[in-house]
Amino acid sequence: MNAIEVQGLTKRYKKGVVAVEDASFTVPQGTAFGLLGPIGAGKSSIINMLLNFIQPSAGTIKTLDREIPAQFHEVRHRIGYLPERPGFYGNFSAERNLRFFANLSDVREEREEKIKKLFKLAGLEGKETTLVRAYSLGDRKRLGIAAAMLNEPELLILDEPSTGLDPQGRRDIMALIHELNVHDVTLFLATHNVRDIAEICDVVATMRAGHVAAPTTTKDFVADVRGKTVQLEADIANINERILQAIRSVKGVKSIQCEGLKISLEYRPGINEDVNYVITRAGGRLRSLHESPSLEEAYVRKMGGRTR
Amino acid sequence: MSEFTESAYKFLVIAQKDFESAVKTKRFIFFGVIFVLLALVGAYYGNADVARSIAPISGAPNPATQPVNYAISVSYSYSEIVLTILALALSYDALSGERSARTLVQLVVRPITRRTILFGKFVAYLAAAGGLFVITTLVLYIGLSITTRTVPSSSDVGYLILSMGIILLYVMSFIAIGLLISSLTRTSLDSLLGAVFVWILLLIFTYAGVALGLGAINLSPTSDIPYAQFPGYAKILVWINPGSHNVAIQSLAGDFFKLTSGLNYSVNVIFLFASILVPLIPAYYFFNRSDAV
Repeated sequence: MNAIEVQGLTKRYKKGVVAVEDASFTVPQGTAFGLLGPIGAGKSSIINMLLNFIQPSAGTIKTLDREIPAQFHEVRHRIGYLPERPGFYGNFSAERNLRFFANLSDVREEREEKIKKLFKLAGLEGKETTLVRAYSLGDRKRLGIAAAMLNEPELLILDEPSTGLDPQGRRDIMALIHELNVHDVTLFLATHNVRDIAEICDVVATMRAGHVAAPTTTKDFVADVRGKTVQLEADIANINERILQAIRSVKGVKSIQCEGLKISLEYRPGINEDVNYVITRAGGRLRSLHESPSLEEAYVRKMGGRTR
Repeated sequence: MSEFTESAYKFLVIAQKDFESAVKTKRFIFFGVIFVLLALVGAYYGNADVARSIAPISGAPNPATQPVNYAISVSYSYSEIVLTILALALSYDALSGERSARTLVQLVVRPITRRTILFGKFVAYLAAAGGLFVITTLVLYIGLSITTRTVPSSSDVGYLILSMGIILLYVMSFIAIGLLISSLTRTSLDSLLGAVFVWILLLIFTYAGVALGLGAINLSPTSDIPYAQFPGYAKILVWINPGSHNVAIQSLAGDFFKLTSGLNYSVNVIFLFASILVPLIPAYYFFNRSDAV
C-alpha cells in the first residue's frame, strides 16, 4: 500500500504565483522518501497540502488510502508532523507540553509511560521539567519529534529537520529519524540538504521551481550527482610504497598521485570505504581524508550552481 | 469515548491550558489589578454616597432602600471599562499569537476541530476575566453588607446575580471581538493595533452617534439623552458599541422599564447576545479556513 499518492498536484497562490505544478509521485508504506529542493522550490507547499493547511488548486492527494482534504479528519491521527521550527508553549515544561499534546492526540492510556519513553527516544531524559523556552533549537527539534510520535503515526512528515542545527545536533537528529524509519514509520522528508537525503532516504524526488522530478533510489541519485569520478585527498602519517600499492589494488581507483605525506586519487564514487579500509589494513595512519567534490558541492554543481 | 465526550474533553484541555496561560500573563495582572482597584474605589464612593443620603438616580439602585446594590452600581461604573480592556487584552492575539509562536500548527495537526480550539479559548478568557469580575464583585458585596450591617433582600441578591450575568455578556462580546481580530491578523503586533483601533472606533461611533443624534434634534447635551428621538443612522452608530446595551446597573436596581440607548431592557439583552455572535461567527469562519495556519 502507498502511504502517499499524489497526482497532478498544483498550487497557485493569489497574484498568479505557482508554487507547485503538476506534481505526481507515490510514497510506498515503510519507505523513507525524500523531497529534495532548494529553498522556495515548493516543498513546504506540498507539505501544507498533505496536512490540509492549504487547498490544492488542482490534482489529487491520497494519504493512507484517504482522499485529502475530504477525508483528512479520518487520517490525521495516523500522521505525525515535525515542522521546520517546532513551536511549543515556552512557559510550560517540556513534559507539560507533551502531556497537553497527548491529551489532544487521543493518547489516554499509558500516557505517562509513553511520554517517558518518548523523552528517552528523543534523548531528552533529565530535561523533562525544563521550561521549553530554555531549550536549544536542537532540543526543540527532538521534542518536536517526540510530539510528532505521540500518536504512534504510520506516516511522519518532516520539514527541513536539520536546518539550523550544529553538526553534532544534526547528526543526533538524523540518527533519531533513522531509528524511527527502522521501526516501520513511513518518512516523508522535505529538505534542501542533500546529506539528509543520502543518510536517511531510500527514495528521492528532486524539486525545483514547483516541478517534481520522477523519484529515483537514493543510491542511483547519489551516483548520478557524484558523476563518474571523485577526488580524494588523504594525509597519511606513515605513507610508504606498500600502502600506495594497496590503494592501487582497489577496483575503481583510476589514478593516484603522491606528494610528500599527501596522496590524491581519482576513483569511482562509492568506493571510499574500500579505500579507507585498505589504507588502515596496510598499516597506514590516516590523519585526514577529504573528498572532492563533497556531495553538497556535487549537487550544487549539478543544479547549475543555483539555489533557487 | 463518544464523539461528543471526546470533543468536550479536548475543549476542556484547551480551556484549561489557555486559562492557565492567560492568568499568568503580565497584561492580566496589570489590568486585573487596575480593575480591582477601580472596583474598590467605586464601592468606596458608592458607600460614601449612601452615607450622605443622596437622592435616587433614574435607572440606578435606590441608595436608601438598596444601599449595597447602589454601592456596587457605582463600583461597576468605575471599573467595567477596564474589564472590557482586560477581555480584549486577553483575546486579541489568541490565534495570531499561537500562529507567530508556531504552536497553532502543532494544534491543528492533532485530531481536534478548530471549533473546539476557538471555543476552548473563548471559555478560558471568559473564566479569567469573568472569574476576576465575579470574585471581586461578590467579595465587595459581602464586604459592604458586613461593614454597613445591611442584609440585602433576596430580590436585591437576585438583581446582583442578573447584573453580573449582563456584565459577563458584555465581557463575552469583547472576547469575541478579540477573537475576530486575532483570526484576521497574522502577528501579535497586528492584532494589538487592530484591538486598539476597534476599541477606539467603538468609542468614536458612540460619541459620533450621540453628537449626530443631538444635532439632528437641535438639543444640547443633557444627562438624559433622548436616544429614541435620534434619526436611524445616529441610533445605529450608538448601538454598534456593545457598551450601549449594558443594562447591568438598571438590573442591579431591578428597573426593567427604563429605556437604555432608546431600547427597552429585553431588546438590549438581545443586542448584547448579538454583539457576541456577530464577531464570533466570522472569527470561526476565518479560523476555519484551511490556510488560517
